[in-house]
Amino acid sequence: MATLSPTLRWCHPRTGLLALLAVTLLIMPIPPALGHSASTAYVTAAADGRAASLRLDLSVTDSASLVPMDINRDRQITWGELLDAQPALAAVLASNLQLSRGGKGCTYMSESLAMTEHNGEPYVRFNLAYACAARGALSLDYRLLFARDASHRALAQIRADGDTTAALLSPTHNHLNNHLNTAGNSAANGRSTLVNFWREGVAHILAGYDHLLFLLTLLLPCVLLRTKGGRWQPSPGIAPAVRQIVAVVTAFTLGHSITLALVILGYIPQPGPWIETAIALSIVLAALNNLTPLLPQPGWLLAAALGLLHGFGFAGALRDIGLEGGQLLLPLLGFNLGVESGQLLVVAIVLPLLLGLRRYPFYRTGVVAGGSCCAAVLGAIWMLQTLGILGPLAP
Amino acid sequence: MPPLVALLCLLQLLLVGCGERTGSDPGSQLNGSWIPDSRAQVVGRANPLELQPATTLQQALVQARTLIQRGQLSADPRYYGRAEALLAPWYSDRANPQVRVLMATILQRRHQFPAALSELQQVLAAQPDNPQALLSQAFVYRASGQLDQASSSCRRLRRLTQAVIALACEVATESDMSTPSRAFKALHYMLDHSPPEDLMSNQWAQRMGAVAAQSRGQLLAAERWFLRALDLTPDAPDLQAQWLDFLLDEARLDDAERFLQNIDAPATTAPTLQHDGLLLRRAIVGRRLGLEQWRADLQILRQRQALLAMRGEADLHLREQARQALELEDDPARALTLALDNWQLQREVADATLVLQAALQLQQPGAATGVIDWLRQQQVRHPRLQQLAGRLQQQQLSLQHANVETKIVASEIVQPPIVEPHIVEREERPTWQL
Repeated sequence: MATLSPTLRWCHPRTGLLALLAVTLLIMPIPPALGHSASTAYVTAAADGRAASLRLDLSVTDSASLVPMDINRDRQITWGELLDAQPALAAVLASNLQLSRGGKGCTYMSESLAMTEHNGEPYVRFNLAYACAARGALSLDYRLLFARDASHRALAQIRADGDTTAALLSPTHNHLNNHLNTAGNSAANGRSTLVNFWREGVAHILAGYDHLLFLLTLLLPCVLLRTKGGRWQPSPGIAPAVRQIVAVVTAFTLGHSITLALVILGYIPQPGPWIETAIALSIVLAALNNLTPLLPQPGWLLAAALGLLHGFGFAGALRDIGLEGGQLLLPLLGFNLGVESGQLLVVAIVLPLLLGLRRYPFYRTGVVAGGSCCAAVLGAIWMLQTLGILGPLAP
Repeated sequence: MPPLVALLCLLQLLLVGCGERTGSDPGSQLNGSWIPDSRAQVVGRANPLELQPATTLQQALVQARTLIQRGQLSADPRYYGRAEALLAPWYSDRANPQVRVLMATILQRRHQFPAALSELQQVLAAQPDNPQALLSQAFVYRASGQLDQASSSCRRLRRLTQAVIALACEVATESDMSTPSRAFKALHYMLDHSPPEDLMSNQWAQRMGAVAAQSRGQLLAAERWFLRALDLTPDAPDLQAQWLDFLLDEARLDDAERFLQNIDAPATTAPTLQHDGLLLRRAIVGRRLGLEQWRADLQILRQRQALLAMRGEADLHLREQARQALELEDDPARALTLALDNWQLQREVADATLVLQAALQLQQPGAATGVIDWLRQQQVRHPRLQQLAGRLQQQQLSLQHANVETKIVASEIVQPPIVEPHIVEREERPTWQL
């Protein structure tokens, strides 16, 4: 073999240098074989009343990679080394495992350590205690080790209110919520997905003050007419006022249905956190528009335009329930119908009041002007909060 | 219900609810935990390799290379996962060729051969003389059974890297694995007289040489090179598993058993238990020697397979699962299904052997057609494969013979006269030349 000659190798003008590099750079391609188990954690979160517990089983090797632990560098971890590292471990765990209930973050309380075993490999068992909201969906955000080891996975399980949800968590799917499963389980009990997501929709609109406030801000002037000078005067009859309200509510519904469907069905991406800021801004604008004409008339056009924005917010809420991909049509329809039902409920309560009060001058100055001022201030505060300029207000 | 049980149940009902926690809860089997007695008790191993955060591409490359080499030595997939996480920020459609080559190594380890190949081909389109890409490409082709492509990659390596590496590459991708070629003889000389200087290349070349020497009937050389590789890297489980396969092939069960004991002796947490490949070999050795431990080993292997399936990585286990079904579970039907699934992914000698063995045991020579075609197309000559293929041909012939005699058309119903394959083989050597 002529190519065996070392001289031939080195005298080649270009590849000679490459070869020199190659000697140190080559990674020898070993045939793929079966090796160790990859890094796998086991997580179980459970809530009972305000107390929640999170049990994390993490292999000793993975635990030792979270914080410096093998102080004597003998590659072995003793129980003592593990206990000494407990405070540091707890800090890492508390910031990478977030539990929330009913949309509110739980407070990390304490932890305890024990040993266990999975498939012949030694594991550390961390029993973590949290204090949560008393009700609502329990959800887990898991970010442990993903940034360090792309092959890390967690087999997670969430138990709350008699439901269990399980999933494999990975760097691209690190969130688990037990609400979707509530719908699934209940479907087996005879209630349909549609009904369950309808309830979610109703609950969302009634509990989400931002959407309600926006809706009210739009509704308040519906029973009035704007003069050329921008001042308000009572609408002469009931029929035009009702027509105006129906137009505004329908336009808002159409607007948010469009964006909600487009996001959930994957045609447009879920926008970033700026959407919360934009929604808050929409409240401020709608409120200011009640005080002095700022935005184009008529009201329904404004409602439709800003409805598009609010659709993104609803999509975020639906995603938080765990709805993404898969069979979407029924949940989407149910959720949207729920939102509409909630809106209609609000309208049904508010409409007679507005119609009855519209002729009093107090309605124009006190309710519309005063209410809009309040809405503008609240919207501005939310906006600053979403931007991180303002912290959460004390209750 | 005996009164005592009823009483206990009542007590339990008061405390937690009787019969509520049954085996249906997937977590219940994991509920056992304990507190060690003393602080000094060793509870596990650390895999320390602390690296500074990589801020430049150059740092990331050096660190990823270190991690991959660590991964190759320790067979711990965590290192590959870390390398992948490290490279992720630098990995895109327009990534640096070196990033791509390392990514291809990670993909190959995950058995994603087409993806690995596509990375390497993109590198080679830009840098046709990239030795690392050529070497990696050769072994991706080899793993997917394209030996002609593999050896042409190796030939292009000749003037690009150390001769002994290029030679080992050529020998490892030869389709004639039955006779010592000129390249093999040259490698033989170089392994014994001027082996590669750096440790990883040396271990690799010795290992490639050893496997090649075994099939070419040069058992003394094979053993010498295996042992030298084991001396170079005493704690490399993949290599240890390969050495155990050699011992098993040569029916040196006592040597295999002693070797297994030696691996486990010094450590507190038995490394055999941590490495699925070693565990499989330990179970096979144990069963052949009549040691009861193998049943417990099989149990752990099954648990690990369930875990891999839950992780969505069941494919990684197919070759070993087929071997397990064949050698530990006495289930050739399952072995054949697994071996054929595996054959769609991996096409090395070991993979072909499993299909042939399972088809032979099941008396379904037709099932091995794909492998027989591959042997013919790639002109593979390997003593063991040829022997198995010959026996399958005999089986096919006797099945046809039986069909004609009994005049039954539905061949599945026919139980063919059982020809003892070993006797047939001794009477006439297989004549099926591929």
